[in-house]
Amino acid sequence: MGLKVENLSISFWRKDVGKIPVIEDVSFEVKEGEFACVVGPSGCGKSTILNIIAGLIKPDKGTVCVNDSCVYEPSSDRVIIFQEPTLFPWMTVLENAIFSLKAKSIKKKEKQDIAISFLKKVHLGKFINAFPHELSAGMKQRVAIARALAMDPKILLMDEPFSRVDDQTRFMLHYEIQQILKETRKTVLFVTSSIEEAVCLADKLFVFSARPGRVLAEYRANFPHPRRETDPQLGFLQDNISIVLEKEFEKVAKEEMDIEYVLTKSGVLVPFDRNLGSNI
Amino acid sequence: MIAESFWHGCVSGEYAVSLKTSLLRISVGYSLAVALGILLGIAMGLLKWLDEGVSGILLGLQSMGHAAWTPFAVLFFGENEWAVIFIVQISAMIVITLNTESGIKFVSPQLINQARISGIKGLTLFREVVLPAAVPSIITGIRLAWAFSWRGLVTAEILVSGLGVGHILMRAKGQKDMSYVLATMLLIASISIVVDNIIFKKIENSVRKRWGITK
Repeated sequence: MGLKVENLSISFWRKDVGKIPVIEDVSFEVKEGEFACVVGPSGCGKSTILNIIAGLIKPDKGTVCVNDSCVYEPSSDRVIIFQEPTLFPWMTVLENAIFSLKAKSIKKKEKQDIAISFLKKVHLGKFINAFPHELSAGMKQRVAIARALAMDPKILLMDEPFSRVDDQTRFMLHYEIQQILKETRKTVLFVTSSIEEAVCLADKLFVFSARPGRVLAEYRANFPHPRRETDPQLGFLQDNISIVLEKEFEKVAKEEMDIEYVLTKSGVLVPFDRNLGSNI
Repeated sequence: MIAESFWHGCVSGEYAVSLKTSLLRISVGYSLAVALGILLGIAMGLLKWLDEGVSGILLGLQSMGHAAWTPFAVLFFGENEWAVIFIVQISAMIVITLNTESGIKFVSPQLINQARISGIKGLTLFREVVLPAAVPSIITGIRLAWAFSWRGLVTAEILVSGLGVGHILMRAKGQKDMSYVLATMLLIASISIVVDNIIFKKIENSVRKRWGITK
């Protein structure tokens, strides 16, 4: 199930500044079964794009099409996983997972079986009767992932889902999500500000400019899954993207501070004591 | 002295008779307040125009003391049970309404979006997400209202009717019996506290525990 975004533009209005264009004329395509990543500096409208695709925000211009038919409303074929694992605090883990299946017309028992099987897939089988506040941040995010997968969406939208969890948990979740997606073959659009994460997970990367967000460059990462963030063969691509993004960072800084701002490039290696042989 | 008066009140049956009347009044008035307060609060939380029109008026009414309602109630209902019940009701309702309204209005938009992407909308969205999310706030409202309704009840019984615990206070004042006044005040306070502890605190605690708000 392919996803096609065409000429998307949106601007927000602020009383003190006036109109702020957030994304401008963004077009890209994600093919069926592909894992695509949008990577860009903070505030470039990445999350806004996901919200538009999910149908939660209306764009000023442009269209979102799933398999050549345009979509405007939220629907369970495009499920978004938010940055915060938005679990309902008065429901248990299992009830949370079942609740997302509420609009589906299948039997109650079947819903429960589906929910449990996906919770087991994210290793939470022992916690199905726990309340969200009893879980750690990483576990909550795993519930959110299980819940999203249980809805069996054609397209999975992920909005920096691992940005709030610690490194160890994140590495593990990266590994697990790659395993799960290999089994389920979903089309994924993943948004992150971390280049390492993007390169680690994605088959295709869209590098975004600073606000207003535009697609600056497109890369492919043809490495076998599952990968690890620290895999040395990813380093070259990571470096390439970080050079593109550094320029964007300079642009933002220039705009903010109104001066010529240049990131200090690494220079000559100097020993800590700065003793360059003067004591000979 | 106070204990003696208290004992006297118990054995003479005066407390029993008065409490029976008072508890009947407060239970009717308070139940009405809970029902109407929650309904009005929900309506205000959902309908912006109603909220804008009514919330200012409610706050104005709240700043009026319970005593200020008595002339209105007596003229409207006559000097009978309904006047007392009305005063109890009006003193308790406003705090419930305002709490319900803010509970409904401040449901996290994240939770609502989460439900929307699962294809849940309309009445189901309200019943399954908005209302449960507002529950802690509603409970705070009905718990506060319990104390407020006692204030309304005692005021109304002093000013309006010839029966009930408020009336005992009035009569004891007439007889210049300070210890009986104090004993009765203690009785009123302790009933309010006991009910709060065995009912409302329990409900609140179980909700807090479920939500993980308690430490």
